[in-house]
Amino acid sequence: MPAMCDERERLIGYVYEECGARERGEIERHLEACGTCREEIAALRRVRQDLLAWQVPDHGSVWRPFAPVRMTPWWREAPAWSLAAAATLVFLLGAAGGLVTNTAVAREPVSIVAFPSTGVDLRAVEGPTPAERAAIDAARLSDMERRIINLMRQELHQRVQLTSARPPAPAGAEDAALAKQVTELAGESEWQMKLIRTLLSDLLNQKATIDAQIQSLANRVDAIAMAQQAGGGGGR
Amino acid sequence: MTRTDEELVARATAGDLDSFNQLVARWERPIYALAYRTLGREEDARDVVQEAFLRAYRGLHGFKGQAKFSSWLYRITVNLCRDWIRRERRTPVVQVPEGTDPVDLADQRASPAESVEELVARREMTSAVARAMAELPEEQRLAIVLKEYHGLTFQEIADQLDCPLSTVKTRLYQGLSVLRRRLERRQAEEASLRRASWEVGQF
Repeated sequence: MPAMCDERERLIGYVYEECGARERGEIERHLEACGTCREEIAALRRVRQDLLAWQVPDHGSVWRPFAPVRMTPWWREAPAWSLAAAATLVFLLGAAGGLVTNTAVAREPVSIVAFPSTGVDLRAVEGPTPAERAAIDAARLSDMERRIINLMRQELHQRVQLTSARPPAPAGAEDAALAKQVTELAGESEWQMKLIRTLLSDLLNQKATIDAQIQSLANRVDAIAMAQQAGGGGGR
Repeated sequence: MTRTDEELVARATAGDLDSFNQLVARWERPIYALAYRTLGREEDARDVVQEAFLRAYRGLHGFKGQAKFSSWLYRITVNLCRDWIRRERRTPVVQVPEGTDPVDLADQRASPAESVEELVARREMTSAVARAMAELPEEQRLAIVLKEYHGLTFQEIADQLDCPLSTVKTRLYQGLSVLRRRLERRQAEEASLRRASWEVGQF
């Protein structure tokens, strides 16, 4: 059996017409003599033809175009719940950041404890383990999401009630307008939730990076303390 | 005047939101197709497309034009699809439009010349290809999707998937070979069914 019959991947370049002139010549000479590889090439081309049948179903745009720049400050038009949610988010993340900073520095104080000049047992203030911290972060995130969803529901509910309380209009037109408004609000809420989730995910990633940097710094402090201790011990 | 991707990226980076909207309008369809064929489910594809454009927008300042905008966008989408598959820990679920009512089908013909029988055969082939693709390993499926439906070169696919060019060829060959066996088996089964049906009709 010729070598090419064992290296069928080479035929792929030929099938997709992405091989150099020299390789193409070699393959064509081989195909003149090898019925098996000729059949292989024909079969690969048939499969490619079959693949063309797979069309993507029609779909509307999934993107909500960015609005043009506003002339009034954005926060004047933002609903109250979103400002409350943003404030809660900033507060909780700040608190979480502070907690992480404290616990990461105090997490592995063994060598610092051993450093003779401090004399303070830092193990007494040891923070949660990484698993516990992850659980705390997940619980906070889930709690924040729940609050935001509740706020959005309340907002939606209030808007629908306001619309329903207007003077009666012809029933069909009113129903259609209400349904349209509800659909738009639901779409808007879904979109805003997606944005918030993305932002939260970014913030948590940034927190993880900072966490790693703090850990690295704590390790360096430990190393320096140990070096100093070793130097001091050697001098005694 | 139609602006190039690079011009639109420069304007969007400077704060022109409409330029970014134009980039989305230009690339949404191929990006959706890539996500849909990789994940097999419309809702998942929609989510990935939204996420891809959000990430692209947030990353515009870091995009230095070292690659084409489209290549950068494809890479974001490919990575999101991979993450999605791993996070969901599942193989793609194939959604194939249901319904074989001849009246409904008549509205879906590719051209007036296409008969209902041809349309049914086309839909069955769509379904068979989608199912066979869904059963492929993720990396083979991605290589075939990028090659067959997006026309990337071997080198471009290697860059997208972070693997050597020879690996791309191997994945394509192995993937096409598996598809070939599955589609041929299906065609054989259909032929057998048609024969049986014809024989029953003779009685």
